[in-house]
Amino acid sequence: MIPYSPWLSWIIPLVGSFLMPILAKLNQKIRDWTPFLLVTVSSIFTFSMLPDVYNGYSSDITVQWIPSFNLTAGVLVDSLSVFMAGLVSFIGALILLYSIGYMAEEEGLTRYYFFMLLFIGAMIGLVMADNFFQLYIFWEIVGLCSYALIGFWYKRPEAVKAGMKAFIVTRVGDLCFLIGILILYFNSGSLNFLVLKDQLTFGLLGTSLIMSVALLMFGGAIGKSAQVPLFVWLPDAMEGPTTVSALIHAATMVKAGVYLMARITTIFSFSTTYLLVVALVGAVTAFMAATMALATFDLKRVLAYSTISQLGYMFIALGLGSSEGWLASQFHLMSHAFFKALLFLCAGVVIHTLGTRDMRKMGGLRKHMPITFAAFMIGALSLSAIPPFNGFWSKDMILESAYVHGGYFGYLMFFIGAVTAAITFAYTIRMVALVFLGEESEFIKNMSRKLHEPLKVMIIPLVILAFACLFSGFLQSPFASAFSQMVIIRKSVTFMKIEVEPLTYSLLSLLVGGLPAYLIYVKRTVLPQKITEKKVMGFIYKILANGYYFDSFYNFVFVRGTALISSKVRKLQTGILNINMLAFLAGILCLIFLAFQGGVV
Amino acid sequence: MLSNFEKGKGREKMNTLDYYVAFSIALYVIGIYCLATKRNMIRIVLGIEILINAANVNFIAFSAYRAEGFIDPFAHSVVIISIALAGCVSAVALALVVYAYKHYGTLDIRKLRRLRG
Repeated sequence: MIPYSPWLSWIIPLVGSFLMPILAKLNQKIRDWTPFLLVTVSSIFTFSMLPDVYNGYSSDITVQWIPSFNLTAGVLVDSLSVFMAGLVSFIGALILLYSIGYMAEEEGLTRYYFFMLLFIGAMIGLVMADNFFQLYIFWEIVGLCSYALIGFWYKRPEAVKAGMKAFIVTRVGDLCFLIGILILYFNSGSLNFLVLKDQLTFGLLGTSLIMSVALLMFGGAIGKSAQVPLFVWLPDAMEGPTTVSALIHAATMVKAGVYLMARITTIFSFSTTYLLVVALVGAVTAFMAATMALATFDLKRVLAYSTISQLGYMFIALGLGSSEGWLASQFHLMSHAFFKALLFLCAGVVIHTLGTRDMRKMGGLRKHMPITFAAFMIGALSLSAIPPFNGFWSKDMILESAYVHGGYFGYLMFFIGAVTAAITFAYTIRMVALVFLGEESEFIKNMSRKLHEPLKVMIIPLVILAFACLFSGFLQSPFASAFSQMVIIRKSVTFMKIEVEPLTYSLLSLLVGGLPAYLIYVKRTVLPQKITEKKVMGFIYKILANGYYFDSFYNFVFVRGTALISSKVRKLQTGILNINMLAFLAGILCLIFLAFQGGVV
Repeated sequence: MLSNFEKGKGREKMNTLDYYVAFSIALYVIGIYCLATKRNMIRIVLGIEILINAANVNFIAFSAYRAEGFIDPFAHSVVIISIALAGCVSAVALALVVYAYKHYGTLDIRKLRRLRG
């Protein structure tokens, strides 16, 4: 471990972000390359910690922060934090490298790089924090950065709205999280993870207290990780630049919720009710988001729904409550980070060249962009869990741990997971077929520019991520042993050995999902329009395309409701200075009158 | 109010203090009137300046009547700082006025009510 690396890994990007306005004055090239270099340095620091934690090193380095409140600032070095920090800095560096090419023609790049660096720095700080308060501060910075970056193109009203939506919807979860932290603090007097763990071992905290705190914190995770019912912000967040979407989905924002849940599962031990809630929310989300992805024509929105669905998988695995499930969720987090970053960056290439996100206008891009197509295929196959790509290993691990868990609960989770895997494969085939296969659309034929492969700085991250997708799936056993300090694997599971039964079922489900999609979208034996023309299918399609009417419901109840109340209260707040001053004068006169009255009496 | 403040002091002095305070109140009322009725942003900035000056005059006046034959230098120093700050405030305010005029093409505050970037 390089000295001070737990601190430097997040302080470097954070401080660097504030240097951006100065660097932007020097030179455009310096401005574009510095963020990438800074995050690379930070990832060197995080990677230097990997061998130590692999060998079982863990420590909690604290400094005094606010002594009167018994608050310390500190960094916790253990497998979970170092693993997350390494992932974030690695993917962050690749995305920043890609940004140099992707964002080259945009305006306001100083702002962009400032928030990107702040985003990455805050996320690394979040995972390295050793107490809930520090974690919460970084949690909020991450939220702020996501707001600013989703609304990066502030001249487009949809982007501004999407940014605000992301901010407000996640705020609901953040409030739950804050309440949970405060309840915990007032009852235990400390927010440090290890201290809390000790207190729990000695039985100083009641189970009901822990239960409520954990549920409130799960509320925070629901908001951040876009689970049902607070998932509505993530599809809209696609209004931001594609690099931002890649960062939000692969490394930073949505992973914060999963990290939080993984962290508190190592601290608290839970009752089955709580775990049931987590797993059910995850299962419902995984299924609903996957079905919604089937009825979407926006390339990035399909990817967004698939992220929500995959996050649901991680919550299912966490909700199982077993060590295998915990490990599987983290392993899937890593796989998902790689393939989703890859998919988004490839989608970015497509959107960058075509200038549209509508999949109906795409098609036949395979011939024009072979490298992008190959990379996208690798990502898509990983997403749909085809062996031997990494998604297969991690998704299989989740399904397997659900199957091994047994009982109604375990089998139900396994069933939902398998069904979702089928739908995942179906929408992946649909996406690939619409974008890359088939005939060129009119839109592409009429394009004046010639289609071509992107710049080299954009290709390199794609290639690196594609290789990561190919090989990271084989890291199961070192992964499991690195986490042995966090969780005790109850039985000696050798993860390369695969249980035959769940594997058969999950492969069968892939066939069930894949075949119709293949026939409809690749072979084009049946036209998709024909299917939606039928009454029942058309009805289902309408529900899916409208996202189960969650958006309309929120719009009607909360947005319109707030607007209605505000318009009634508006008369008190006219915003006209003259009227305010008159009211002020009246107030002064009343005060003087009262004063003289007091003098007389 | 004033009688409480100057209890036991000579009647003669009271009178002179009254003049100063009356002047300051008059300035204050003018300032409030300006803020309450005017729509032009520059006039509003001037109104704020008048209000600050009313307060300054009040300060100086009371400092001279705190004790017999003694003028409190502290109040004077505060007022000098206050004047300097008022200058800063008006400078910033006028800069905002200039930009608002460039952006919207009007100085009517009722037309500037939309808070948009």
